[in-house]
Amino acid sequence: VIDLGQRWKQATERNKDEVQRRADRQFEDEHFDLLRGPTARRAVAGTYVFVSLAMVASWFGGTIAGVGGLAVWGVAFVALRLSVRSLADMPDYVLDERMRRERDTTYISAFRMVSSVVGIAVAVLFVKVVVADANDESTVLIVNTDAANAMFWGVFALVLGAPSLAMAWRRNAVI
Amino acid sequence: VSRRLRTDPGERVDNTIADVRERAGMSRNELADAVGVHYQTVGYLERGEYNPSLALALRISAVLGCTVEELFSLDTSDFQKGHKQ
Repeated sequence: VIDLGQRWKQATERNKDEVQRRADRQFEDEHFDLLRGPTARRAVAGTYVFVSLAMVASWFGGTIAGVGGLAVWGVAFVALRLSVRSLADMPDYVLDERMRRERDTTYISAFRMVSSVVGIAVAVLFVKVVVADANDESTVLIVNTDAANAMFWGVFALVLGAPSLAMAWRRNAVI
Repeated sequence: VSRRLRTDPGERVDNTIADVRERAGMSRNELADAVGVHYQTVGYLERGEYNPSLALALRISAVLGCTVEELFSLDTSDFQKGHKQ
């Protein structure tokens, strides 16, 4: 009889060990220290924002341009995570109390960042639909494939990158 | 050498971890392993750039063989100045 509970527990432990090993590698890594100074982190964060916006725009140039933009965005995303040693995305059990405090402080900024961007986007949509077209009984928004891709990958880049972006931007973050 | 960290307006925590650790003949790595933090965190503590939790402060003092009061002290001189004004 297969003991699923026991196997699940073993798999969870193996996963935790692997996460710990990866975290240790990140903390000890010196290959990408060039990206980790306060100014360098800000440069990486600025580049990530620019590349993310360019990636969203690239979807309006067709699927091939969009996939190309996504590939470049992937490189910027990896650089962003390296600049903050992926600290913003690590679980409690691999961090000490200082690192947990850094991560948690970052999450407050990341939440504000995401909610501001989403709030502004919704406000713009509201103005367009309700205020600008107030005389129409109903407004139809047409979302074609390019627009749907741009929206999906834009939100994807924002949500996935926000914690590392907030941490990279904080000049006094202790990483 | 005592280093300072601003916590609340007018309140600073001084610490003497570096001096006490060196007197005890321990490296940052050894202290970090003994109290269960990353070695970089010991550096941040010693420079006064990070203020430890009470539990960590107690662990550090136990490892270094001294009291918490010997390692950390609250400097309220700015706070008192503010109240006088």
